[in-house]
Amino acid sequence: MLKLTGFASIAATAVVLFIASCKKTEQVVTPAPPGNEFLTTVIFRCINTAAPFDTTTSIWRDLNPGSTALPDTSKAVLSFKKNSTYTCYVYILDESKTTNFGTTNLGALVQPNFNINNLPATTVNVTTEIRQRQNYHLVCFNMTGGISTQLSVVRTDYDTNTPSLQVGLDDDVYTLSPSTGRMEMTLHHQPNVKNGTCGPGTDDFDVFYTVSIN
Amino acid sequence: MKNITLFSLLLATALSIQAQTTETQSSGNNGSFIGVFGGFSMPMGNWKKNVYNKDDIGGWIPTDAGNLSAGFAGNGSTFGYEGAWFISKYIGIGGVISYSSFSISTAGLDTLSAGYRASFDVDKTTTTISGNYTMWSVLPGIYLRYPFTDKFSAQVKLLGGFTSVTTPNISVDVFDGGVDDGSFIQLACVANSFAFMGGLNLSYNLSSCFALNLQGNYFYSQPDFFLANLNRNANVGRLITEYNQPLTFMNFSLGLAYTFGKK
Repeated sequence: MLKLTGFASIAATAVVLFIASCKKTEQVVTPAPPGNEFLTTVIFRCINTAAPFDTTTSIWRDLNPGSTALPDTSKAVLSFKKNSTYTCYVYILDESKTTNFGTTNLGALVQPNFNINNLPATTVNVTTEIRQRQNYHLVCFNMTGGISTQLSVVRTDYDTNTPSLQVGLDDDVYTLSPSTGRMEMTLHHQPNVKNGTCGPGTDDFDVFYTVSIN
Repeated sequence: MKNITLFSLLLATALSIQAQTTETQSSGNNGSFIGVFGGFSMPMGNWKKNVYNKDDIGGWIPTDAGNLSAGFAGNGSTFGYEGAWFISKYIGIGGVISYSSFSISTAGLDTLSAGYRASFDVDKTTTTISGNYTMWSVLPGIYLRYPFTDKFSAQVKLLGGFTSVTTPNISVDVFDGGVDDGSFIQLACVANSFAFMGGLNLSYNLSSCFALNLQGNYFYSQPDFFLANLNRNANVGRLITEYNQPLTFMNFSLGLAYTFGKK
């Protein structure tokens, strides 16, 4: 009887241990910490590949994002020559903040002597951060008006996804006949859904430039 | 708390057996036994580490060795069957068949979720862990026994054998701008390897038939996991495709054994 009870106890203990080792699914939700990141300024700068002195720079600026004030589009103008090819770069800035090189955690993101159109050297350049996050970002262009058939943009930079996908911070612009219109530039944030198209994800910015081909 | 409950159960079972013994018996056994054991296990090394080395924008550094070697394993439990047959008073052969289970630690789960949220720069991530690191091990080997008294003895064991390890399933759902951008999953994976265990048993004979064993064991294995990632469309953050780190742990357990030999 003693042996029987002992074996039963051993068996019961084994069963209890097995059940106790079972594991439920665990889940945690991690929200973003409160932040105040802004993209206040988007610059599109293009250089004629055949005539480097032919440069056109356009600035779209909204220093109070979230407010009802309209963005400053007085410099959001691009002027191209017909039948030309331009190498273009997108610059994304946060002019709501300034930084001193090496003294803040954004120091590494700031290009020393950033002087495009005489912007202060302490301007926070978000472009470098977007470049670091290029694997889930995509810049898209949409032309309306007369330029829709006379101007095309080809992204020339690629991310490190497998396979590589275009990013759009570096671009080539091809022009044909004189015309005017509007270029919409959008930065798409596509976390884990980037597939080379502009559809997935959300917009980090959506800006417009007035364009003329002369 | 769970482990304390288990220890209490084992102890209560053992004491009840002792209480049923109506006469004092000299154990006189030769040390051979078969029984069950179970207890608390603590992972060690990189497998236990909870690492989140960030780049300057707060995301995982994809190539950082610390990020890639961390296993985020939390404390767990081990139980199993153990037996040995002593061919002399001091030397025996035997083995262990055991099952161990280790969750991803709470801090590790928080770290994983925060790391993926920052790496994808999104509003929210929901990280779900399904299953545990689990190990089935079959470990034969040698036992050395030293009886201090009729009732109390110590055993040293050195075992080597086979283990089969399963990793947990890690799913991360990404939300941004009010949009659910879907989940990517590091799928559970099974790998096998050689394993070694060394340990010390302190054994107390409760009666002529039963003994209580208190043991501490060190376990080592190094399975090479080749991990599949489902719906992982962006090469961002901590992306593990192979995990080849030592899986080591210390186990402290209580066992109940049926003893053989002269009654």
